[in-house]
Amino acid sequence: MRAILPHLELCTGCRMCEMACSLHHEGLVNREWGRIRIHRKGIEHYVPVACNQGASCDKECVKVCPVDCIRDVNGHAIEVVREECIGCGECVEACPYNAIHMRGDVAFKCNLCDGDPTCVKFCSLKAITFEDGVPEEFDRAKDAAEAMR
Amino acid sequence: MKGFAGRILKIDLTTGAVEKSPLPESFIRTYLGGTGFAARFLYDNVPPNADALGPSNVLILAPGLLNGFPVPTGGKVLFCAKSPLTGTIAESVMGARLGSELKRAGYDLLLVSGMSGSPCYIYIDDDDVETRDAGDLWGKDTRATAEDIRRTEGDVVVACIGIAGENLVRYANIDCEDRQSGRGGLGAVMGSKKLKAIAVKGTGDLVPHDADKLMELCLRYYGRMVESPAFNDDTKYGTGEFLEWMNSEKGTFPTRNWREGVFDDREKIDPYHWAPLYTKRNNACLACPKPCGRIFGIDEGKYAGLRIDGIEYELLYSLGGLCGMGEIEELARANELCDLHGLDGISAGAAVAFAMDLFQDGILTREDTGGLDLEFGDPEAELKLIEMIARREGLGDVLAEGVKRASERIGKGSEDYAVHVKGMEPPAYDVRGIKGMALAFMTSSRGACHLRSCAYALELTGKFWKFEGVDRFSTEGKGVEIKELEDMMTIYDVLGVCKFSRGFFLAEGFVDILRTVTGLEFSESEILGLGERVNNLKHMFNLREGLTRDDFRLPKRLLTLPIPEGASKGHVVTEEEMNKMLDDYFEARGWSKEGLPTEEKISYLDLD
Repeated sequence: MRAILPHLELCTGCRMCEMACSLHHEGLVNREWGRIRIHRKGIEHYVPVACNQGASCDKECVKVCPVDCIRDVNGHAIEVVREECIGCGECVEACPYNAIHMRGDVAFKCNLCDGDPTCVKFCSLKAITFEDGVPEEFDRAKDAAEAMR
Repeated sequence: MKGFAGRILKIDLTTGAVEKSPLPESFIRTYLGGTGFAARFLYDNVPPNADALGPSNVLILAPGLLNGFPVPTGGKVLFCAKSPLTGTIAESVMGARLGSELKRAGYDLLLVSGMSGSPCYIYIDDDDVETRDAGDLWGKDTRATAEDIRRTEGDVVVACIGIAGENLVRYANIDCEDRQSGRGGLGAVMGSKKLKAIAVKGTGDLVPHDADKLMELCLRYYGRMVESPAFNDDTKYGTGEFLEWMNSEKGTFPTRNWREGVFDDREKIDPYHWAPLYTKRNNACLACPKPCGRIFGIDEGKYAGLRIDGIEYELLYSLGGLCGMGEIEELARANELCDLHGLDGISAGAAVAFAMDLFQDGILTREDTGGLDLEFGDPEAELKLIEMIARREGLGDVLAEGVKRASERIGKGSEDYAVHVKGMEPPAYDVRGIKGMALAFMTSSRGACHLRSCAYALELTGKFWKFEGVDRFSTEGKGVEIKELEDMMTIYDVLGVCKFSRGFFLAEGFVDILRTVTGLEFSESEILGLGERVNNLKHMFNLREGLTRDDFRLPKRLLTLPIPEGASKGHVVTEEEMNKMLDDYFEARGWSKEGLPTEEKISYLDLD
């Protein structure tokens, strides 16, 4: 399955992806609304983190959702159907990649912008690409992001 | 108003009072943001002839209007205060997350006045604003300070000073995530207030007037930047990309304290040589898709583990050519020292070069230097002296005052060696061979500066914007040219857009962007008029501080010593040329011969 694939060495920390993501989905700019997020440690490391769409996980979010509102709606990506979300936060807890977020009483995650991801359009040095998921790359990003906590 | 946070945050460190007030509607249309707001609030809040290192100086943090939106290269934020180095307005722009974070916390502007009794830092988390004890942080370098605060406060953006700011070095800077508000001594203003750091966390939404249209514009400018011919070289070699051109083709790379205009060891400090060996990866400013910032890393030898953002063109000059020093790893170390101690690398390098020059001519001796052999090109001497400046030890204590004050203290004719305008050590453009740039050094409101006008690009290539066929050796038409460039470039600092993107936007491009983000309608001429208003206001601040026509002079060396070799050989700025260009500029500005704005001008700009 295609997903937002991170290439850690190439990320410059410009955060265009974060800003463009929330602008596209919410009509405003706020990292807290970003489906993709950049983690930073010191001068050397930036890590982009977004949902791998099951390429590297067991879709834990889908399994734990008590109202089955996390699903593949149109064949592009697994998404949270906002109208049905009850805001229980189970999916956020369950995601091993910290790629689902809550704000107010709704959960949200990357839905690949219906197959044409906005973030990728703003990544000039191709630190994120839209292609078949490579589990090792997601795991490297996950480890790097966790090491920053 | 869409695009704005709508509030101003004022903190008095003497009393600890915190005040949140609405952003006056009337200021929005006349000043918009960034340097516009900063200049207005500095003028209104700092009393005349205030001690720059005293409690009545006000440190202003001003995000560019576009900070936080994905307008490509729109992530520039600035600090502003009265300068302890020049006595004029000081402002210095950096590409850090600090601006967008402050806006998301709900403030378009932060004003810090007063003076704390003991070391403190300001903590801002949306509405929660406090000053906290920084006793344990005092004495720490910039990176350790930021790391410590993030360990305590979590995911905050930290701006801080190093020991240079604490020790009131007059060109100490402010660091934020390895970006710096470098020029004019703003770090010393923080140090004088016992303010070690500002930590900001914001969670609010930034809402544009028209999100769909904004996305379209952002994508359009992003595409233009990424497809531009310069993209590849800029991202690979950074700001030093044109080093060879400045040396071999133009002969305008100031070398050995402005004795020469071509550096014979240029190859060793040219990024085409060292970038493939030392560059680890790109490191962008907020919102920049064409990052000239890159991480320089050394993995072996005595500096193994060194990591800096750079080395930038300006520091290849100040810590390299100006000191006659071409060892790239030593240069990187000097850069790192400046970053960690919080020193402006341009002024620090210039102060070292000044001292080396005096040592060479016997005006300074080993007795003055504490036994140090201050030879041009000696990295050990350079590194040692930078340490001494940051710590204000021995000769370093004198040089920490900047070359102007240092020369006044040293005497013995050393004034002739001090290259500065208004007390500010200049950047890397030998203006004896770039006459318009010489005028720009003279007229810049913060002292010798390349960025108030960016005239070097027009002068050296002959064309930019509406100008064509410009001759760098001529003094004709330079008054109008610099006035127009200053007004245009000021808009970039109002909006918080990088001047390396100056060719992409111009007033025309900003009309659409402004409408889309704020809903405000501005014509191109209104945008440029706003730039003119802000420049006049800065000038009025400087006049109120006692600035006169004499303060616009070039230093003696640039007026008397011709460039000895290279493509600009024999060129100098004569007294006559200097006065002619200044007359032309004052006339273009609508100021008197003495540089006083006429009442008509002041009224026309709504500054009365």
